[in-house]
Amino acid sequence: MSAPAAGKKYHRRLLLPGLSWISLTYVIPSILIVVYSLLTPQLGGGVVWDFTLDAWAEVFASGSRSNIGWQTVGTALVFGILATLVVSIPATVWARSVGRSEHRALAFGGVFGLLVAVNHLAGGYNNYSAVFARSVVWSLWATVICVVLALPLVVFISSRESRVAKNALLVAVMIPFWTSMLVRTFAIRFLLSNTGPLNNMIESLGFERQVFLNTRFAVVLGLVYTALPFMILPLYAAVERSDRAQLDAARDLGARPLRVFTEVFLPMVKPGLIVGSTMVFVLSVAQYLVPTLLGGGKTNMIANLLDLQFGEAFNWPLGAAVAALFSLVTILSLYLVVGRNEELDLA
Amino acid sequence: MTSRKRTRIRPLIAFLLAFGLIAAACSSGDDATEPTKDTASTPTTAATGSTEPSAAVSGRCGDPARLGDSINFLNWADYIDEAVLEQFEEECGVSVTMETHTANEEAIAKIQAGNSGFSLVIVTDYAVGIMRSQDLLQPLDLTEIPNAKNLDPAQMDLYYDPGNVYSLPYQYSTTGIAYDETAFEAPPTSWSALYGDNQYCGQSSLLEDQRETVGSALLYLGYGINETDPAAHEQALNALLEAKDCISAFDSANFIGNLASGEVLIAESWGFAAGIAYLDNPNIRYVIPEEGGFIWQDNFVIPADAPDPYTAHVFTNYMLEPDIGALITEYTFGYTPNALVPPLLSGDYNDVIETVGLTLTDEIRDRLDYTVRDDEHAIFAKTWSDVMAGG
Repeated sequence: MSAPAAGKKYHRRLLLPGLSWISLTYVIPSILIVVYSLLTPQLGGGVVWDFTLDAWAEVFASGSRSNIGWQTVGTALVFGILATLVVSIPATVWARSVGRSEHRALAFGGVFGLLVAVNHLAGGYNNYSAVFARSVVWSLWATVICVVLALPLVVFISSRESRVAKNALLVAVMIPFWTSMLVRTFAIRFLLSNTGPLNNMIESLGFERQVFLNTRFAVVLGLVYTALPFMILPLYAAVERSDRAQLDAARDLGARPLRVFTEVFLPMVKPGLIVGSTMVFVLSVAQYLVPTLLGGGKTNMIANLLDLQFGEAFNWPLGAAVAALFSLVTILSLYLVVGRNEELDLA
Repeated sequence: MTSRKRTRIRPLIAFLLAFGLIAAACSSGDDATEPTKDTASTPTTAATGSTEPSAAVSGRCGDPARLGDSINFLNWADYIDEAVLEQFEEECGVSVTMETHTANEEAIAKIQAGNSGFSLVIVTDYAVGIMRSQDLLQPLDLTEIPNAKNLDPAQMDLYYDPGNVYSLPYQYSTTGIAYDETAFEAPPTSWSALYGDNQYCGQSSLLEDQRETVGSALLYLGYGINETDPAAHEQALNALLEAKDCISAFDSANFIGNLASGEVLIAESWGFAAGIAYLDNPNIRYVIPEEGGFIWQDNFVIPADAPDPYTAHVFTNYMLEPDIGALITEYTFGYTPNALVPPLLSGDYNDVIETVGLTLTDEIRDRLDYTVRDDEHAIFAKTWSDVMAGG
């Protein structure tokens, strides 16, 4: 199908407003970031125009803490294997259901497990790759947990008979998100604090008070809480427009529930899963507020380090280098997830 | 692909999603570190002498012909009794629009960006030095600030502004350890109570500040707070990473409320903050550890591009009036650099200072030092970044 040449030109001109906006707000700043990452920091913020690779050396420098004992290695192994299983089992089931290669699914789980293990080992290290690994792994956990939480909920909502009930439930999902995220995150803080309701309950049941706030647990909880609707809504759209008759047909033809789920249902909602996962991952990996308020400065993610370098540390080049690398990682992972799925319908 | 059943539900989803995205984008804004408003309960506004209610411009208001109608003032959050602003407006007819910052870096960035509209800014010692070096400040005209003569010489002419060309002191305080008296059999006297020998893992906090927190680790290790030796910083880094596994948070924003509520029982704290926490929790005490502590001072500065420097001078002079200075100090629980203020301070203020352990004796002063922040001290940023990056 080829449009007339004039028409093509016309269409191209339509791109102009959007394109100039994007170059003004994204392309030019991106170039600036790369340039800044090659300069010398100035006390009080800003840069001195002396070219140096110091910032990049710092980003890739290895940490100086060397207290990784056998215990750390052992737990890293256990965590790695667990994570591999958690991801590769469903991935393999899915791969089988859609007729894709199971090896790739296993490999995917293996890579995830490896990342988890490395992250655990890197937990003792104080360099930037550890922060990157941590941010990515936690965001993956958040994504997986969001899928697990959202799927049953979405099926439940979608199977309501009346449209009013469906809409009411959907609105109920969104209502908390109409209050400021800052307020909600402070509320979680209060809930998890040493003297908060959760600990009061635990104590009244006769157990010891636990430290929940300012732990990895709290941060991942916050990530999931923040991003869950962005999984629920696309997934709901996918489930809504999936063909219920096919599920019935599969059942009538004698497929067991698990098989209906993996071979008929999952392939139908795949686009929703991909869109939802992408949004949850991207939102989580760039989170600033959640690790700040729920991590107590002890469990920082990339955005916190960025903030530190552009703020208190007065090291703009280092911040710019981290930002450039961060953009690269995000774009690459987006490309891997979205760019190669031709069949993906983002609408 | 499956067949596409277009349902009317999709616009709703699109709307919800868009709304959610916008809401998320809007709310995840800048100020994550909200200051604890709850702890700043109205302190004692005590006997402040007689403020002659003059409708006309009084002698403390400068030259009415040159005085502006309004002024934009940038101050630390919760760092002035609003009554001072109201009184200035009533007495001199200048309405004060105060904006607040929660970090010196934030204030510097605002002034750096240019055209900020602020005529008067309050920042801490080292920030004055940085702003001075970047030509962001204008020299003060002391003939317009006659009250400057009342300032305590001990708080003048400090390293960041020799001769007080660009700044005059507003309030000063110290950094040490605040703790809940009932949680300790013997009161802590050493930084080891937060490093190495912390009894309250998960119920203690260190400040989130590269100079004061790396500095306190250095003190604990027997160095000075301005030590730049890489080997000392290596040790400080390890001490901090170890402390990180124990404390509940690096926290400069919420620790006052946490001390007041019992959420934390011991914290690296500013002196004035311990005073504020005491108002809600009478068990709070404060100590400058035997290894030493920090002294720091907040200052009036006028940005180079201030729209109304004259009114800024008059307002500064007004805040250096003894009665106004007393109002401010009774609110902040800092120390006043104004030699005429102490006799005016209320009994309530003095009681708090004495009970909490904030009395600044010469013996304590000898253990305190100002933090220096210049290019020679860049290693502090590096050490702190490594602490923040650690797991």
